[in-house]
Amino acid sequence: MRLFMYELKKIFNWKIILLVLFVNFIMLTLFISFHIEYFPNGRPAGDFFKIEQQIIPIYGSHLSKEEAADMQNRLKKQYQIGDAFLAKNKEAVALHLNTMKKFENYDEENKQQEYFVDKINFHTKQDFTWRIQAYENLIEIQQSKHIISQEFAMNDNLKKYVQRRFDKQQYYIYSNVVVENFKKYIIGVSSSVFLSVLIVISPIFLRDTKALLLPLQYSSKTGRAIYRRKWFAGGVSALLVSVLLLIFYGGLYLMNHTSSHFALPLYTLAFADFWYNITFLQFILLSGAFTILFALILASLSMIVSSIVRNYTSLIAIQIAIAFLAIFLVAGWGIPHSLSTLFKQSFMPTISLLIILLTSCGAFFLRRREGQRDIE
Amino acid sequence: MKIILLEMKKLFKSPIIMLLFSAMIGFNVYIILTERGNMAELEMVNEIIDTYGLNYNDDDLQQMEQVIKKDVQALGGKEIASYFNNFTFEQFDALSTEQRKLFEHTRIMYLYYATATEGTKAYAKLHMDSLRIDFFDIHKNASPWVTEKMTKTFKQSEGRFQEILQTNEHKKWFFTETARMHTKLFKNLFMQLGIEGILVVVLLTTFITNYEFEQQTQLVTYATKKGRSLVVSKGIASLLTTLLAILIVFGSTLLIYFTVYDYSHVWQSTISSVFNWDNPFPYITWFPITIKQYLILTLIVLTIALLLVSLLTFSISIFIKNSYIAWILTICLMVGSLTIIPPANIFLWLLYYNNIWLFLNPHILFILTSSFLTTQHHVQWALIISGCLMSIFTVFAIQNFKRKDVM
Repeated sequence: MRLFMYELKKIFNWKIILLVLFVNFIMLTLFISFHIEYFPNGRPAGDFFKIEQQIIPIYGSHLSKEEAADMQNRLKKQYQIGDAFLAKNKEAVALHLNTMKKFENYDEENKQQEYFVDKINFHTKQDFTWRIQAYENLIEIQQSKHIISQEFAMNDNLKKYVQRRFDKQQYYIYSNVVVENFKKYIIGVSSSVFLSVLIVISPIFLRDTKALLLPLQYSSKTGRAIYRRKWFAGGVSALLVSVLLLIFYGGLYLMNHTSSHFALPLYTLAFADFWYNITFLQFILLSGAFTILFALILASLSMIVSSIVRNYTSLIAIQIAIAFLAIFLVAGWGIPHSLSTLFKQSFMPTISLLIILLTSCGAFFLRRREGQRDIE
Repeated sequence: MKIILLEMKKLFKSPIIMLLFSAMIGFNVYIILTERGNMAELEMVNEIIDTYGLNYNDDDLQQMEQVIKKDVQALGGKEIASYFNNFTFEQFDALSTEQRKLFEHTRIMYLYYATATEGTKAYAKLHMDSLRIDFFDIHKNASPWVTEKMTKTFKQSEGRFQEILQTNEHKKWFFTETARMHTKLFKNLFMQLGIEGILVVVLLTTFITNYEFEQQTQLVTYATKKGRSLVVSKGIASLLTTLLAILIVFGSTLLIYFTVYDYSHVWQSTISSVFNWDNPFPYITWFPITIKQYLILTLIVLTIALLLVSLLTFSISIFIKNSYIAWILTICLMVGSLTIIPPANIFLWLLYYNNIWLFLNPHILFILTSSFLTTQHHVQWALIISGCLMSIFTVFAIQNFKRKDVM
């Protein structure tokens, strides 16, 4: 146990901790903070979000006929607000745009009318035009009753999936604003976690080799068993780093105030088609779990590389390639779409299992090699 | 000289570096090959230049119209524009194989013809003032000094634009704008090359500079007659290796790029050509530059910028002897320098004279845009200012090293 603590101390020296903080600061300012600061980004995304926060407590995860009619009423109400506003507005009356119908079909050739419409849309605090647009889009999503992303590349499994959704009447009800924002957010977060883990773990064995510590360590009473302890310490510190960072970034995500969507099944959010029936909160947790899993795999890969290479240049050269794959394939594609219908149902589990298997084989052989190796 | 060569040899003895080089080249080639578009549309420019010459004028366009009209009539249409605008899939299915070939040929010819006629008209109607408006939309609270400086710049751009219109610099054939060749080569590919260059250059500079400390031979080498001035040889060796790395990575990637795409006819075309319009605003250069000159200039600018990166890494590596930490810290410092965005005053203006910005914008060097990077001699001054800064760092680091403990 004492050896294990010493190893942890070596891994988390102040230089490495400062570097990790620096890297996370850069990732936060360049790639992550945008999705918090500018959520929901623009219009009508913001209107979608506000409307959804109102209607989710009422409708829940299933839209009955009365509720669909209620949506139409809400849309009508916005039209009434628009009508009332335009009828009172002197400029609108002067330009013959005194009803919503005329306002929507304004003459694009008429510069004054165009200017007025532009002003109402972008330069006043009137929401009704955007709200009408948002309601119309939502009603369109709800009425479409089919799963759009499946129209191309249909295979038997997908057909069964779509049929199952139809049978259970699992249709889209809400827009994709929240779930798309989360997907973009998790891409930045998991890249940041992966980079941090790579930075912390990579020098673990090379540090000792460089300091010519191995002959001392391997001839001590603990002997070569220390190699296993270092592996254990590396795994624990990778877990520590990724969990701490995920807690930090998860807390940051709460600033988006999307908790209204947490309990919704994922199929109610437009275009978020998952093989399994999970809620949005479960999707968030699943992404976190996949991030930790791949962080641990990356840590093992780093440790394998670290115990093979002989100098830092080779270490960095290999880690550049590993970091590239981890960020662009795993963080960019794998984690946000982990169990979505974009991939085959068995794709992510198989790939994960395969990588885990290969890494543990590598680790196993390295351990055996380390037990018999000649230390110069 | 021999010492410098020996220092360089240390790097190339490491097989991993060669593997990294080949992985990067392989990735670049993969991107080039997968992003190929409709090659027939690109090859048409060769045929057009062979017939009408590099420049075009109204006579050429009239001749071209006649040719297209004849082909359209052979296909059974009457007017060119109405034939292509009302073309349907059913009509295409009715054509025979020969006719389909002719149709495709005429369609592409018409694509070029339409850009040359309509595009030239739209080009002449451009307002350089829109750049100024865009700039002050983003930097609303610009300080008076910046406002004055940038207003002057945008006024100069108006003069340059009038000059182009008078000399007909824009009336030259180039690949059709739908192929986005400028973005493809000078933005995507060169940005990719620049970033790869940074990763490699920082790696090899830390390796060469810190080799003795890594191998724990510093007590031998720095105690010889040559002594601590060995570090100067190491600096020169890293600069030379940087050049060599650029030659390998940039050279082989560009070689493959120009075998895939045939630029032989358009080398003498200009960047300010009407066809070079794949952004909302066309690419207009501060002075007349041909495609070939722009390629060479971009290569020179990126090479100098990479040499400056090497100098920065060299001075950091002298203070931080662990090459792992030095590598990550240098990369972080460079990326971090992009995150500082103060309000629009003279400080922000100066920050843009940072050579890292050049790596991210190789497609708008010497080109009019609505950003800080547009000032007339921006690239030259960026290289000079960061060059001076890096040289000061390097001299300081070397002086410091001469009195430092090498244990």
